[in-house]
Formats: sequence, C-alpha cells, structure tokens
Amino acid sequence: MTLRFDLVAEQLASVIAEYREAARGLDAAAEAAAEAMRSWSADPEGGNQRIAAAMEGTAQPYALAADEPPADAFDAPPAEPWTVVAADGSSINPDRFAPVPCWVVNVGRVALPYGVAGEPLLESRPTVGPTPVGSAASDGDEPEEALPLRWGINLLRDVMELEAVADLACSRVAFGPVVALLDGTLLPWDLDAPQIPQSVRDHLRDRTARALDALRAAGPAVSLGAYISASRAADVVNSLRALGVEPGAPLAADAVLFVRLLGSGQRSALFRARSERMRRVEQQFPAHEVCFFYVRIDDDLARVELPAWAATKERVERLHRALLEQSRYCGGYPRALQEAHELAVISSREREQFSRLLEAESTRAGFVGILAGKQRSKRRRVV
Amino acid sequence: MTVLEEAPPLRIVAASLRAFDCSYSRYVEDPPPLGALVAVREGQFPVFGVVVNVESGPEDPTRPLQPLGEPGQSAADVMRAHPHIRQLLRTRVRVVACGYAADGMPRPLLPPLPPPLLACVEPATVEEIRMLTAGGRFLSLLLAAPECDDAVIGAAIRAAGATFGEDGRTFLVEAGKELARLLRAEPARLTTILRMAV
Repeated sequence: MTLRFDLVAEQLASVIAEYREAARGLDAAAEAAAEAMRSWSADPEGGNQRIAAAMEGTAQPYALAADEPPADAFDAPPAEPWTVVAADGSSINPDRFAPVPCWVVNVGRVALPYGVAGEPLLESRPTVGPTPVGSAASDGDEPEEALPLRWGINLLRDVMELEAVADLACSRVAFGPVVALLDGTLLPWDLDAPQIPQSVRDHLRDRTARALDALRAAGPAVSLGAYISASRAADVVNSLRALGVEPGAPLAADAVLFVRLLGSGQRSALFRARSERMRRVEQQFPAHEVCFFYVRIDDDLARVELPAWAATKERVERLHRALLEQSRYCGGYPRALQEAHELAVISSREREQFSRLLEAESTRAGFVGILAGKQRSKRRRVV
Repeated sequence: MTVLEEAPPLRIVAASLRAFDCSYSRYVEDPPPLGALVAVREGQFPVFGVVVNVESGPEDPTRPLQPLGEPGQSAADVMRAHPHIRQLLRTRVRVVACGYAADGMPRPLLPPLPPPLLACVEPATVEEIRMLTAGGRFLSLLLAAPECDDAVIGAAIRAAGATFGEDGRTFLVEAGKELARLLRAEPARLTTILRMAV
C-alpha cells in the first residue's frame, strides 16, 4: 500500500471542519436566494434585463427565465407508452508509444420500448481510426486533415453519442413517442477548444448540426434531454447575484438552491443558458439554443439540457416523467443511460488487450514500436 | 418482447466428451426441461445428451438481478415493464452426453469427439430418442456421470418413455431391468430411481 491512510485520515478531519465552517449560513443564504427567485418570478422580463446587463464583459454562465416563472416547481404528468433511447461513449486515445497511432471510440446504444412496438436494443459499436477518407466509418466527404488524431477524440466521442441518439430516435419514432437521452451537456464543449485543429472542429460541428437537425425534424413526438447528474453549474445563482443576492453568500451551485425549492420528483422552471463560452459554441448552432431545467430525483439534483425547439410543454412533460420512471429502479439515474454506459465502457483489461492487438497487428505489417524506458519499466515491474 | 416470442438458438459454449454447456443469448422461460433428450447435429458425429441442469441469471455476475416488480405484477408484467432485463440475463443448460450417431444410427455410446462449440442444440426427434433409448442401454452413461443424480435419471426415463406411445410400458420394463443390472449393488438407489421413473 503506497497511500498512507493514517496520514490521510489525520488531514481529512481538518478539511471537513473547514467545509462545515464554510457551509454555515447556507440556509439563510438559500432563503434569500429563494426570495430573489420569487421577485424574479413576479417580473421575469425585468429580471432578465438586469441579468443581461450584468453579463456584459464577464465569462460567468447565467440563466435567463424562459416561458415559466423561475421560482415555480412542476410535478410530472402520468407515464405514457414510449420508447426511451440513449447513447454513451468511451474511448481509447492514441498511445504515443504505439507503433501505429490509433484511437477507438465505443458507443453504447440503447432503445427500450415501454408499451410500444419495437424490440429492445442493447448494443455497442466500436469505431477505430483514423479512418481512411471514404471508408464506411467516415462519412466520405471530410478532408483528411479533418480526421482527429491525438486531439479531439473526446469531441468526436461526444458527437458520435449525439449521432447515435439521433439515429435511434429517428428509427423508433414510427412506433410512438420517443424520449432521447444523452449523458452530459447537450452541445459538445470542445467545439471551441483551441488545441483541436479548426478543420477537425468544423467537420465535427457539421456532424453535430446534422444530428440536431435530424432530431428536430423527427417532430414533436421526440423529447430530447442531456442529463447531468449532481450538476455543479451555477447559472441561476449567478443570475440571482445579478438580481441583488449578496455575492458572498455560500451558494456554490444551483443545486444548493433547487434542492430546497423542489420536492422529490419535481422539476424547476425552464431557463435559457447564457455565457460567453455558451455563446461561442451556441452561435455555431443558431437553430439549437440551449435551455435547461433541474429535476430532483431522490437526493440527486440533475440538470437537464435541451434545445429550445424541444422545450414545448408536451415534450418537456414527457421528458420529465420518463426521467423519473427511468430512475425509479436504477438508483436515481436513468436506466437507459446506465445501460448505455455499461455497453460503452472500455475496461482496463480491454484497453490492455487492444494495446497488445495493435502492437501485434502493427508488427505483422512491419511497424515495430520503440518501447520507451518508462513504458518498459511499467510492463516489467521488477524489484 | 413477450414470452410468446420465438426463443433464440441454444448454443454450445463449452464442451467435453462427457458433457457440454449451452446458453441462450438472453433469458428464456421455456428451455428444454430436466431429463429431455437433445441433439447436436453439427460436427463429425451428431451427439445426443440428457439435460441435467437449467439455470437462469445475470450475464454479468457483478450485476445481480434486483427483485423488481409491484405487488400483484406477474413475472411477465415485470419483464414488460423493464424491457432491458431479458437481454441482460442468460439461460444456461447443462447436458450430459449419452450417445452419438454413426451412419445415421444413434448409439448409446460416448461420442468419439465433443460436439463443436457454438453448435445449435435442438430437441432430439421421437425417432432418435426411440433408437437411442430402446432397451435402456443409454442409462449406463448417465449412471456413470457424477452430475446425473437419481432425479435426472428418473426424468430421462420418463421423457424417453413418453415417446414410445403404446409401447411405453415395454420400454419401462426394459429400462427397469437394465437399471436393476447396473445397480444390483445399490438396491436402495434402484428403488428411488424406479419410483421417479414412472
């Protein structure tokens, strides 16, 4: 054992004590924030204008009230027959010690019909790259430099998850309403990451836009939500500060506020997400402005992002109820997302197997990797 | 997916000369029952065997099945309410070999080779069962298998006997005589099996 738990335990006590001190006054701060929410609800447009003014020149994320009073809480309607589809991904980044640079993206795809036609689907689809231009794994029209190599695998994975969800939703909507779920944010944040070549970002932006367009074109029977469990976002708290809540208040995240405002199973009002980074990414998708709400599932306060076009009453109610039903028997997390994760995850053993397979295949093709000293010492841990 | 849906094929996932393990790609409610005679018609020799165990459970042992369901819901109701479950479960069948076919003729002898992995396992036909079990000679292989307890042998005799129609009594008498010969040193066991065989 290299981690000395006797020393760790000694230091933990002071960390917890410090946190307790910082959390003092949380209830009073939350009550002040709730009061500010109620004022905002009384005049949403006026509140929005004050928030928009405060946003000028800052990089912080804010929330603007959408069409629902910000302080309201909503119960879910009864469940209906529908199909829940979800995708999640896992990846192996190129190993700089490998004889041939190569990545893997594994996407778990799930479709679970509840009272509607169609077979349940639980499958994973791996893609290995860089893919040659025009191959089945690429879409054939991208320039070679647009194919990600070292950078951009995470972005590619996010895009492939969205594409999988769009594909599943479009293929199932003929059987009845569909609830499409993603894990994480709706828009891939790395689209504005400067370390990823612009050509790669452009290519993946186009693929993202196509997937979102397909979901939109599938019509009002498709609800879409990107689910962020235990969200630490502070958009609403920042907005409340713009509305006069004391800046020093110990409200670190929206969850601290909404866990007090929402009963079990309730969702918050819809908000529009606003930030400089959001603007940079969102302006690439003018037809897909991001909204969000919070939903309380057991002790979890999850943030659910969705495009503004999917923020209609019918679609949001369907999404809300489906999230509760999905989480009911799954430890407070949507079942379809959990199964997609289980199908996507690449274990450390599989990573090692892939590494050996790549090495063997590369050697067979005449490429011999030069094993670096550090790598060699890790493989053979002698005393 | 409903229980009425056609089951996927039952395939061999591990095999030796004396026994083989089979699995469905999901949970099925109607696998071949205890004592059923099954056939593997792929490979050099068609191989026959008797079902000695059937078990169902999670594919991934680290993800145990929760006791899902509301009061009053049947298993089929729960399966419908949780459509992912069936695919995360597996039904597995253990078979002890009791014969093989040479020149189209089933023989109650140990097969020269194990059946091929991933081969399909199907119910043996009435004709195959009659040819394999007539005279009770298949029982010696079953009695020699540690997995074949008295209940398995009794069930195998009942399953075989059911295929003989009006000649079922004759089959039972012959099988009983063969058992008496094989178990002459174990009269108590013989009695137990005979009671289970009718």
